[in-house]
Amino acid sequence: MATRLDSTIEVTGQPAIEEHVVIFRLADEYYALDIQTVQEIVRMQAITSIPGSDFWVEGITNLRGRVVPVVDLRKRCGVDSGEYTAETRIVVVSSSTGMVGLIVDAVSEVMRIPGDQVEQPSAIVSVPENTYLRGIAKLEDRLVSLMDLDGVLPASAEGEFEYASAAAA
Amino acid sequence: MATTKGQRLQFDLDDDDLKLFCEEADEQIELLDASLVQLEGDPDPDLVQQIFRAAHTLKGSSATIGHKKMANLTHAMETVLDAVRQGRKSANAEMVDALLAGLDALRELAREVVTRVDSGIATAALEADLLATLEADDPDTQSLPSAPAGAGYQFSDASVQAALAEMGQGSSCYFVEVSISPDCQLPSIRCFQVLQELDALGTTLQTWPDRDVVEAGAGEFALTAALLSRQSDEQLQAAVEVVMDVGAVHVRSVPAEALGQPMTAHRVPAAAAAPGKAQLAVVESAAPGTDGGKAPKKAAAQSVRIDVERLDGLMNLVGELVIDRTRLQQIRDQLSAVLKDANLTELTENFEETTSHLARVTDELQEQIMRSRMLPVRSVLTRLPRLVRDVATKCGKKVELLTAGEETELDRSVIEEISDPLVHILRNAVDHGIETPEERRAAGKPETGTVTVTAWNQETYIYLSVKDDGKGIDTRTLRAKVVEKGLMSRDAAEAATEEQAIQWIFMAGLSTAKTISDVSGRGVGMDIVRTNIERLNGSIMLQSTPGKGSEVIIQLPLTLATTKALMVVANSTVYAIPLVSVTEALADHEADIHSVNGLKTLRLRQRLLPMIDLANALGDSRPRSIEAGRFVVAARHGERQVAFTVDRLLGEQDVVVKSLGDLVGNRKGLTGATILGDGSLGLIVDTASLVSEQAMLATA
Amino acid sequence: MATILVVDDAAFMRMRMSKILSEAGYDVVQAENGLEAVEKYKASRPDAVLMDITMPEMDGLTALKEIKSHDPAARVAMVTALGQQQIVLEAVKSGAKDFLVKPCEGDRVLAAVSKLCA
Repeated sequence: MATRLDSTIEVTGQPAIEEHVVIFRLADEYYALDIQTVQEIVRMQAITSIPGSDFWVEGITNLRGRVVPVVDLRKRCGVDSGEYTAETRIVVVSSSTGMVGLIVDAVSEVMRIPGDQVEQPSAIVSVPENTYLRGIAKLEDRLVSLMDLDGVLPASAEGEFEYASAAAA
Repeated sequence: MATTKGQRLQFDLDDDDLKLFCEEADEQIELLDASLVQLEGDPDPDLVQQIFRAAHTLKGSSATIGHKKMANLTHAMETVLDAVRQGRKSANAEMVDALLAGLDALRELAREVVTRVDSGIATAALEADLLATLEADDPDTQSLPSAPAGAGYQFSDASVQAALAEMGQGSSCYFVEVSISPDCQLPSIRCFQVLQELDALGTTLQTWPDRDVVEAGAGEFALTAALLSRQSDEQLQAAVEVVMDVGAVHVRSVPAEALGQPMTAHRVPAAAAAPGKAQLAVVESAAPGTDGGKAPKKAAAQSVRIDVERLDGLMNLVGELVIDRTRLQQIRDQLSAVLKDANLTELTENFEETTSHLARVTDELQEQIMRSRMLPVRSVLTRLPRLVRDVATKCGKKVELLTAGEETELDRSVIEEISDPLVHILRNAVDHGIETPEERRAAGKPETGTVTVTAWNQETYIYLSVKDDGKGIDTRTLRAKVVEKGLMSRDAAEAATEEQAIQWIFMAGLSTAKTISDVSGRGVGMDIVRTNIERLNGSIMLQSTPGKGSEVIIQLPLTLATTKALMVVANSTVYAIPLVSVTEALADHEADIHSVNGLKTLRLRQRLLPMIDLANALGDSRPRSIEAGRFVVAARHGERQVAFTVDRLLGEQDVVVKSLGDLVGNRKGLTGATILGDGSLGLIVDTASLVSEQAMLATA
Repeated sequence: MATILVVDDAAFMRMRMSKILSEAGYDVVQAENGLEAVEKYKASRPDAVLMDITMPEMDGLTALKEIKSHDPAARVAMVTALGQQQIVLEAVKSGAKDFLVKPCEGDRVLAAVSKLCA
């Protein structure tokens, strides 16, 4: 699915002109995800934790028959973790590691951000190693960080069990 | 004519086609056998139609594979039957005799396809006899010339008749070819919409694929229709182009005189035009001639290509159904407990009846869908001859590979998983099992060793055997080895029986070849093969006779999509422990628990099993719930056994295995997740790795 | 400009569809289940309908049939997830003019709607 969407962008050939995004809140900060990657937004629901997984992986959840891993975005982004509220949502995104749910404090709106309002993250935030962001948008009333999904979610976890020699045949 | 007897014959069909061809031919011949005798006198028109169709089908398939004799004979039979069908001729004893004689010959001819040896049957005389029955009293019996199938779209005789009748009255006959854009996700619906448009403008005589196939949603990206219409070709073209996702449209009118002739396809239809993104599984293996537009009508009706993703989707849906069924049964039990006193027995009985019926249907459905995902194991076995040749050359050995049971079917998921272990075992057999030509000569064996790979089904399992006629496992070397490697004490190693010693080959850290060869690789032993097989809920057995050879037998479940499991709760999380590995489940007050060296140990059938907290073993670091560890589940992996303590036992259940997702990856000790009756998720325990790890830790 | 009735029980999908359409200049009427769709159809007589299939209260197929019986000329496109092919077929037989497969790209939605309204 992701590749289909990507190719659409290439065909259009104008990815930088406008950002069509879903804006959400983590603690006091606003972040945005490309609307094309967002599959669905659901209320907080039962999550089964997986023993021994990374601390920021909250567990897995049943999304209409699909098993979807869920990431606590606060923990992942190093924001102090807080209580879940009635506003807490799971943003289901389609990433290079498949469908993933991201727990956010609230989803505020969907909007188009003109390209000239977006700046490279380095211009404002002096944290070069911050791979989660691909840009910062200066809106009238606030700053919105454009999140880079591939930066937030690591490439697929290594399968620890491998067939050493036989596969080579 | 009889001089050709015994000659080798060649037909245009591969092994996949052969099975289908034979099944179909047998079916049609049986049908003819049972019904030809009823043809005489005033037969039921439906029966005549059926008999005609049987002959027609046989003609089509034999022509497709290039069996000329069979095609000619069935053509003659069909011609005779067509005359009867259309009422131009009524069947007499002479005709039935000729048909029966033809049938007997057909049986032999069909067998030739299997034996590939000419049976020496002469058909010319039989054909002449058949046609003579038409000429006897009615000289102007001339069936429409129906050319042999093979060149393209062949109009059925019924279509030709209908077309000729209409064309006299201002209609034209058109041949409309439409391709659907490769990005269309539901091409069948678009094809159906095209049909709807055409229906509105005329009468569709025939379509390729058949209308039923289109409606069944086979996912064809091309449609060809023969249409009678008063509209112009431009009008037809415009009407079809209204449908979204329609790519190229090609309309041409067919002159009356061309009607009986096969139509060649303008473009390559269907399969070849399909997009590359969808991997196609051939279900029931394609009939001869499905591709390339040869006799498409016949083929399409018998086997359908289904997108693998769609099949997986179906399997998932059935999985959900299985879960709901289990849940419903639980509710039923609760309900009947509650309603027992309320004098509502009729209601509960009805409910029980319905739930058990649903349970049966669900099981059946699951079984059927599973069957449709089955592929012959051939795809794995075809890789092997090359592998054996390469390994043998490297080791300086002479090896012949024999395979059997290629048509044994197993689930796609199992096929994908079985390949690597099989390759490994086969390498071992050639590298370590078979001797060099010199050694074999010295042992009085033929220089060329034989490795036989056999597959077969039994009950709900598939078995794969790799057997060699090599030197067998040398248990003396093995005994020395386990002692040398510190895996066992000398006494224990000496005390073991031959059978027990052979099984050590599966021990971790043991390599029997005297040197590590570059063929079998370093560090990959049979222990890993075993672990992988057990991961698939299968098991592996080894038999060996010194000097005679070894045999490795793998047993696997038919599918990996579902598994039977014991459901337990440990620290508030529900886990599914595959039943194949569970040896005992009991409450701790029933269990014979001892403390050995300060460790809790379960005594079970004269064995002492280390007791391990399941949640801890899996790395659950959350605070423990109060009810911790009230039950014990003994689980085994190979020779190793451990007893897991859990909080509660929930009973046995069929679970649908779902991946944890790439982000989570393969967690230690877990193989996946499953959806529970209440919609929450349970985790499936990887007993193979967990048991070996824990047993090792406990002995360390 | 034409009026489009967008029927979907998932608020997000409805919002996304509506946004795509209203930005292209269409008037959008929304309904969140089949029953509401039939009522809104009768009330606002839209030029085209985008109808989700799986919905509470009344599913898309039933709603389609209701709408068609009320207005045989109704132009309805079904919005489907993969795996509902037989329902889509049934819908096409019952008079649906087109279908869209979720997730729908904007261009695709607009192309379908302009074809429906043509």
